[in-house]
Amino acid sequence: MLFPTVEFAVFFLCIFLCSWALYGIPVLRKLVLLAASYYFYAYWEWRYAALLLEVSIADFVLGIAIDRAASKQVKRAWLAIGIIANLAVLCYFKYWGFFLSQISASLSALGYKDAIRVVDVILPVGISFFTFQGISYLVDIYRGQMRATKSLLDFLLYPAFFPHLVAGPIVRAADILPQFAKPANPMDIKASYAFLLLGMGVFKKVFIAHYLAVELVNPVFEAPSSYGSLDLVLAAYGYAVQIYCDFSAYSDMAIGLSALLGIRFKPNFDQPYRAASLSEFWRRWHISLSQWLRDYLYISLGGNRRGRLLTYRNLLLTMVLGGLWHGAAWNFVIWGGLHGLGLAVERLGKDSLKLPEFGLLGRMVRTFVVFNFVCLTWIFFNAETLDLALEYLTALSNFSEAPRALTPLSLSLLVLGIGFHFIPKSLLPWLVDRLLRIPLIFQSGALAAWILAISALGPGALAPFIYFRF
Amino acid sequence: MATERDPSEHPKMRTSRAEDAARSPRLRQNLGEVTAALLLCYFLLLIFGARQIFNWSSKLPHSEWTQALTLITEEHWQAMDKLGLDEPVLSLERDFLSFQNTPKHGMPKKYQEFVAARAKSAETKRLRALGKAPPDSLWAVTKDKQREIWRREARQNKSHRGPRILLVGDSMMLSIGPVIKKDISERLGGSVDLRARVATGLARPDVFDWQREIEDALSTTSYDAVVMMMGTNDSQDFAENGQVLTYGTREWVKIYNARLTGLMDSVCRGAPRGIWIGMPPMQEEAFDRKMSRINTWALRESGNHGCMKYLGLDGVIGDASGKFSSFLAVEDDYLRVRTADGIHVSNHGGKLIANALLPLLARVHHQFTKRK
Repeated sequence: MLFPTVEFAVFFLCIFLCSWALYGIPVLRKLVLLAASYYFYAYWEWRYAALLLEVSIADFVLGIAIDRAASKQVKRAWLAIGIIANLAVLCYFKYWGFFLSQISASLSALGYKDAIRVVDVILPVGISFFTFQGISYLVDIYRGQMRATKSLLDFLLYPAFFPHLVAGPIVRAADILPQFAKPANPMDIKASYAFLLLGMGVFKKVFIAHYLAVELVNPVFEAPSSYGSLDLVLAAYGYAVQIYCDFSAYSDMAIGLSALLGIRFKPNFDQPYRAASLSEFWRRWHISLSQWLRDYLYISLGGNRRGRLLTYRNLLLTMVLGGLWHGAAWNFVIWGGLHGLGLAVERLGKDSLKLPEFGLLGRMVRTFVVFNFVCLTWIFFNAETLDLALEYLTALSNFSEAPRALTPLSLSLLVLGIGFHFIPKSLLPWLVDRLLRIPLIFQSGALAAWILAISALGPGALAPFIYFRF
Repeated sequence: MATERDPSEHPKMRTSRAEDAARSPRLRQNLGEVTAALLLCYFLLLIFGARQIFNWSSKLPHSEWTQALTLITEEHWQAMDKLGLDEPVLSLERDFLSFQNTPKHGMPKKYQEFVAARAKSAETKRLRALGKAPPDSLWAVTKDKQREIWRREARQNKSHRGPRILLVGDSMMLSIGPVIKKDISERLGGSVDLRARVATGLARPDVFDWQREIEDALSTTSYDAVVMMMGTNDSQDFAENGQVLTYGTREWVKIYNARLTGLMDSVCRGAPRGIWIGMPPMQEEAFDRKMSRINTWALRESGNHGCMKYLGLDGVIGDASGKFSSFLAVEDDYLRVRTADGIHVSNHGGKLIANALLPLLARVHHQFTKRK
């Protein structure tokens, strides 16, 4: 059940009405939200709802065990069990097939063909998100940053809450559990903010991401060697815009929907392609994941406290593992590795060379370089196989082929998608402020008109969000 | 990747503009006004988006419930249409469609055809739901009846003078099939069976399953070669495992390519030679891009099958640069090779395709003669 669909609209209206009708009875309200979230999850594959429930209960029990443990050693032991349990689930469903296929390929190369049977494990939707949320909860308790919740209902709702369940943002327990613990306030619903995010999300997903994918990105990425260098460069830019619009649209809609239910999530994107350095890019792109990687992986590895060389190693390792989080394939390892390498080189330059900034012009040049580097890494991210990614890179030198992939529509969307990132900081709040002076009833009328217009321009059906695969 | 060195850059220390805006008291509304606003939004979507709701319901997996829902949404759409409430969204859709299909050579607007096709499809669905036969001759011959006719023709069409060839495909093959059939029969002396049906392809096996049809043909008759040409109707969404997949998306491409593989596997299992004729260049740019994408997949799949050969038509009925052309200069003559719709191929075009096909069938003929 995708957000911008008729079935989800019906589902959400029911949940909105039922959950707010019960706002005076918080336990019942949360039960409704929990049941709705599990229904939402089971809509894809009902069998994995049991997995989600088991992982959630295990994390709840382990959280209490860590909190109540008398000594640091016992806490550490419980934490280790918790992390291993979460990672074991993640690794089995996400990496076991890949691991076996690699061993099988190695054995085949040595002459032992079909020595092991490669099992095809179906990836449960959102597993990367709810296991990471479980780990962060346990680590936060271990570090003393929060106490374990005593309410099983609240905790079950934390990873399962349907707006963020399948594709994030990776919400921290410390942010969301207190919101579940206190009764919802019917006098404080941020509906205008939600409408704005929903409108933006629908536009980015249904219009920009869809048409860029179908008109420009997919045809070129399927057969890169039959296109010229200009088409390939534009398709890489197109994918950069597509994935931003696709993923940030999901985050926008998740934040908007939860706001209508009285729950607040933090933003997950902040105009990432206007970053003038890779570290800035990662502070603007998929913020909840990069914060997670920083807080639970990079810092745990030692961060930048153990000298320069180990800092570079930690950056590289964190990003390689971050790449692997996206999927079990060499493409993602290379994607993460390139980002890690880029961050390490950037840190090395910052530490050793102390180059001047060169004002606005310098920032523009750096932004251009960072954007192109990010687009280069997206080639590995989006290519179906590593061979296709390498074919793409080789074909980049094919200057003889005339450009033919770009259409007026895809060019307009490309410009629009990149243009979003360079809206002056002061313009958007001003615009939002003006917009929100309109009475709410007219705002909802405008939202309906906007959705109808986009549905007229959009496709008959929607492709799943890219991050559903992770 | 943020590090802990620079606290001013710590993401937790920064908030977005949207978040700042969300704190504004003006943004906090009470439950009553939010519920009213939300219900109004849904109401407007229901009355102005009736056609989209019908389209959505008609793509749901087939069951008694969804059939009933389709009928209700259709009634609702017709009621809204009578009131003219469908028009604003429809006119926007029309403008966008003509923008997307900006013609290269002054092509007539396709929108009327699009609307007519949609209406026809809706009427067909409605009549089928009521258990009545649709009026359209397109559907007058059912799948089973059609198969019977083909089988009978194949039984009657016996010749031992040359190889036996099967031509299959959609309306494209239906338009050029007779020409190819005549040409090949005369030149190779063999017998050719034509199994072609309009409005079919690989996108909707629920409507017509070409893999099954080919397997049926190959199980009843021994063919020396199978020539396939389809794809004209395939740039459309379809449902797979209860989920509607949008044309051109990664998921759609995966399923479509699997169907291509399945079809070619069946051909290679049942016949020594298979030939895939690619789609010719099309007049409308957007449609041409879609067809050339299908050609890319078919070419790749043909390469993966030992028995398959691919025949591209860009150099056969395209202009000097392989682009669409209604007329071509052929041996001091100027011939119309395409029909007026800018999609199908004329008889002259069919002859050019038959000429290009012949060298690929020469080997089949050679093997047939050797066998004899």
